[in-house]
Amino acid sequence: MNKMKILLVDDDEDDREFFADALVGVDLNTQLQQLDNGKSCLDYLRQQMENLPNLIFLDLNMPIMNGFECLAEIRKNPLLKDLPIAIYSTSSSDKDIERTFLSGANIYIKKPSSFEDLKKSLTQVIKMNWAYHMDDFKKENFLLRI
Amino acid sequence: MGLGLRRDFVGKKKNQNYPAIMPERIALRNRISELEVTKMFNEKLLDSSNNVIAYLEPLYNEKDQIEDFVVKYVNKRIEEIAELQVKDMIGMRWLEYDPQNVKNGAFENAKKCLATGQTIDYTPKYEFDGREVWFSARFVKLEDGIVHFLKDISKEKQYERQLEIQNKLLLEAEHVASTGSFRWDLKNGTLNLSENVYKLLGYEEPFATNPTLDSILRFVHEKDIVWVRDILSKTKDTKERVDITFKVVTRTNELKYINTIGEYYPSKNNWHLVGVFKDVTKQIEHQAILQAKNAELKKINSDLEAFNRIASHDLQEPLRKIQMFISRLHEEEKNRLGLKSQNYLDKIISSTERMRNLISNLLSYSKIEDLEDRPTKIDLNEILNDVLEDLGERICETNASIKADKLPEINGVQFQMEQLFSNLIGNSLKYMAAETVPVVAIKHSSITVDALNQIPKLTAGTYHKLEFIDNGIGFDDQYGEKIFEIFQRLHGKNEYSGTGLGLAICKKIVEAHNGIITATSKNTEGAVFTVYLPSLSK
Repeated sequence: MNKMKILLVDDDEDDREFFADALVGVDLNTQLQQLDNGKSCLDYLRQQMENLPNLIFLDLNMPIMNGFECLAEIRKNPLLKDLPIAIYSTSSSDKDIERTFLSGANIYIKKPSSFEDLKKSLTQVIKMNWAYHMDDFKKENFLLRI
Repeated sequence: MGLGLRRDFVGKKKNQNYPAIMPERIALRNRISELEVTKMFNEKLLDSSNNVIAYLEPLYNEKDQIEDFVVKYVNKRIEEIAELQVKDMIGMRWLEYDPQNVKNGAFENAKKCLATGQTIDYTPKYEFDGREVWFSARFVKLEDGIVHFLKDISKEKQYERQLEIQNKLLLEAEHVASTGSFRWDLKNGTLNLSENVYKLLGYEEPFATNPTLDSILRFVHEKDIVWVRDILSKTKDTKERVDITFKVVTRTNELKYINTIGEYYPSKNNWHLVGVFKDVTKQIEHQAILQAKNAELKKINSDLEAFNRIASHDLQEPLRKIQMFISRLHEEEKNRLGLKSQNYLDKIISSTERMRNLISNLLSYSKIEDLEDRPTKIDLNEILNDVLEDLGERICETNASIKADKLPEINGVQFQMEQLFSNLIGNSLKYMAAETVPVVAIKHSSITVDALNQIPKLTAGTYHKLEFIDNGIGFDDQYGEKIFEIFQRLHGKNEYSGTGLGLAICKKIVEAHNGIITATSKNTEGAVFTVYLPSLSK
């Protein structure tokens, strides 16, 4: 069985470490790629057109190119517009949440404050039947907030 | 008595109408009766005069000095003015009859007239029955006596005095209001200024010579003079109302702000600019202070917003990291830690959790008045259901029972109403005596606030009254207001957890919805929190 390819874009080193550790605890059959800003994410995706990740976790507040811009760029590309994207941010402001959904994000996860909660969130997202839900995403009525 | 003129006139008449040759006796009889007619005519004429006319003859003492006059004649006019009787006066001694004649200068003038033969004019004042009467008077020498003419000018005097009083009043009013008035004649350029204009410019007295526009404009501050002149020359043509404020430098080098309002009024072949100067220095200074304070306030507000941003992100971020690391430490090492260390770790966990609560409460407190959240029509039943769902775990733990009336729809901000319900119900569950099952009732009724039924701080209108009644530990009723203050806690934080913000948030939310919240309690008998929210307008 192919490993699930997950891309994490976050400039915070600690958060990336938490994430990687939590992911191992959740599902060993995953492969994690880590990047630290929106620009490197876009570059990476262009190189990996034949081998795109199954799921992207995208932080919002990043240097060089932030998550909002990166999200908009991804959705502009017809080849990438169906890629599942989970926003992974410290912000819990309704304005940010609404803005990312309008820009085409599929899930919004507020960075939790305990390792337990992080593992719970990741389990929920990764175990989700993505193929099944993607149709709902296209209808733009599937808004999941964790 | 001045009767000579009339005699001539009647005499001429006689010569024309009667033959010259007549018996002496008849002529004499005719002459006498003519004289009587003449006398009557003259008396009527004098009595009909508007003036008091009297004829006085001097009385001399042994040293040949005038000691008084005898009233030989006075016309009837005196009866109208002074309520005296002519028949009582004739033949009386003048000064003895009315000693006022000495005091008001009449006697002196009468003597002078008689001695010099000059006509003398003066304005004496008399008092009749406590009433002041002013005269314009004249003495004329006639034969051995003098004729006294007196014209009643009391009315004129009264007008003059009123005018004087009004002028004085105006002057005082202008002084009190720091205003002065002006009138500018456009044709000949003359300028009339009230006394206070000079005072405003630092002078005690008006200028000796009439001021011109230029002589006043030279006080205008050099930075303002150009545009002030511009306005004057422009409005001189357009006749627009003038309303300008400029700086002046007074004679004593004081800087003042003067507001000038003037209107152009037409007169025959001419225009006048009429208006007022007002010293607005104090107002301008206060305005400047107010503006400075406003700027300061804006700065403080923006600092506060910056603080909110810091609190929301920069403070929460490291705190979240700390919590993350603690939870990892807890997971990895808890089995290896001694009992004491485990206890320390638990305390760190609960402290950081409290800090997180505090920060997030502070944030919601400061965000309540955010204008971004527009109120919409919301159903409080739905709000209650959502909140009960969120509190589900605690309701189960405490075995609480919560009963609510059917609740109304109101105009409000959804998440704020959720927070209000959550905080109030959450408090009821929290502040419970040990081993008591919480019972919370939410009651609804409609009330009208008007002249008869008043509730402090609520304007007239219809309101929903929501009562949250619990069976908890309550509070001392003297703290009914204090518990809504920010960071007010009635219990030690080890007894009951809390940030001291919950009820402050409730109060701010209710007030942002134009309502009020009150709390009452009889110790140990639970608490009642009453929320009044405006009804939906039809």
